[in-house]
Amino acid sequence: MERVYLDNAATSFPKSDGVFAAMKAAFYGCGNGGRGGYGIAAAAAETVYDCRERLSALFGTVPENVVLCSGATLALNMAIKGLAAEKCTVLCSVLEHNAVLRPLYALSAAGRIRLKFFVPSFESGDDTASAFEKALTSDVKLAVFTHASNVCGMTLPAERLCRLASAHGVRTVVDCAQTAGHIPIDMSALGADVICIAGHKGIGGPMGTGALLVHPKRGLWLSTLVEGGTGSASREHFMPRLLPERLEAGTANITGIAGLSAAALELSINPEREKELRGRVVSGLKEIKNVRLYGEGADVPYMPLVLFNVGKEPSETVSERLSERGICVRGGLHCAPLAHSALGTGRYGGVRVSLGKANTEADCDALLSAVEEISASV
Amino acid sequence: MTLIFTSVTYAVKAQRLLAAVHIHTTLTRSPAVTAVRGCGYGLRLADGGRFAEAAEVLSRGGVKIAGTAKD
Repeated sequence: MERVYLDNAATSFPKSDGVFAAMKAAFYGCGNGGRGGYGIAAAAAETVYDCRERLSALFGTVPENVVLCSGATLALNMAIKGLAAEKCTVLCSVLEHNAVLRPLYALSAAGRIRLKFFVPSFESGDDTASAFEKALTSDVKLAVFTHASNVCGMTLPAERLCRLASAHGVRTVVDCAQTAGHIPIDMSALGADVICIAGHKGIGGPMGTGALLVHPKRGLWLSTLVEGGTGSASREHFMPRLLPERLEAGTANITGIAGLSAAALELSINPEREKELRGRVVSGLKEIKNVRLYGEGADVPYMPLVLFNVGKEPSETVSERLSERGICVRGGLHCAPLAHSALGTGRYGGVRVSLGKANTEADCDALLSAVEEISASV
Repeated sequence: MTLIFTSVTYAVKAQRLLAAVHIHTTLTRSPAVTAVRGCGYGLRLADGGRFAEAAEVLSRGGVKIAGTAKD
């Protein structure tokens, strides 16, 4: 049975040979970067800096503002906990992933912040911007929101939201886990103080990689989440003041970083192609009896994700039946329970199809025939 | 002549800025570097006579030199 991989929002698959080759070269050729001056330590330092340079070029910041870490989850934790001032109110959307919600819930439960939500519109970016602006009361000091929902793919008008926040003196953290590598993102144009990315999704790097990127012209002071060795200023009791070392305690994942760097170098962003494939899936699903699509507003752009259910079947059952036919999708709540509640799928979740660079029309058609078969049997 | 930086990131950044204007350097962690703030990185200039030029390039590139040491 041929495998049709449609779970690229979880991780892109397959990874490229170039990514693997770079990881293998680092595995055999790199020591611990930033810890010694000898050849293989210097090679590691160069490898890490290459990655910072490539990501900074991709996202419009400077290399020293690229903090490399294990993924978007750690990046978001560092950004949220590093920027949320004591007793301030933090605003976030109901579309957030648990990588945003759980750090915020933890801070709120500890009495360190007040948490406030805004509800994006599934119909219009203007309405989302209005809801956000209304929620920007004077006590709000930090806004955290997703660039695109990991559940239905709807993008938020992030540039407008950042501009509104900035006008109110509010710092912004944008979760770009589902957009990085799929659409062009320029931090200066976006206006976010911080963006958090996964290395292994749209960019195509290995799992266990990601980054927190700081706006090139905003001097941000982030409290540290993790402290430890940085290979620099060792007599000082506290973490260095300057990025990226301030937020990078401990030995870096050099092989992973080498893979991420290779992926960033070979990345080709083609949103039109992904939009075309998504359109094929959406229009095909609309033709199938018993299929219900979610979050399909006409006036908002979408990432290459589609959420649907078949009749009253639980989403995990449908996903399992698709898996029996070689089709890899993800059912359930996708670690974003509030997004599902907002979409009306809070009880059984939904079946998420997420397309990637390796997908073809044939993959979309294989999915549609399988869904048709399942639909006919419920 | 060795230029000292607070971190390996700034040392590599400096090395690349200097290489772009053909000022060749070697990354080092000599005792002189460690003496400045307890671990750091240095760039040993292949041609110590170009120190002033290197300092100017780094200043324009926004890289601070934490100290210098004679070899």
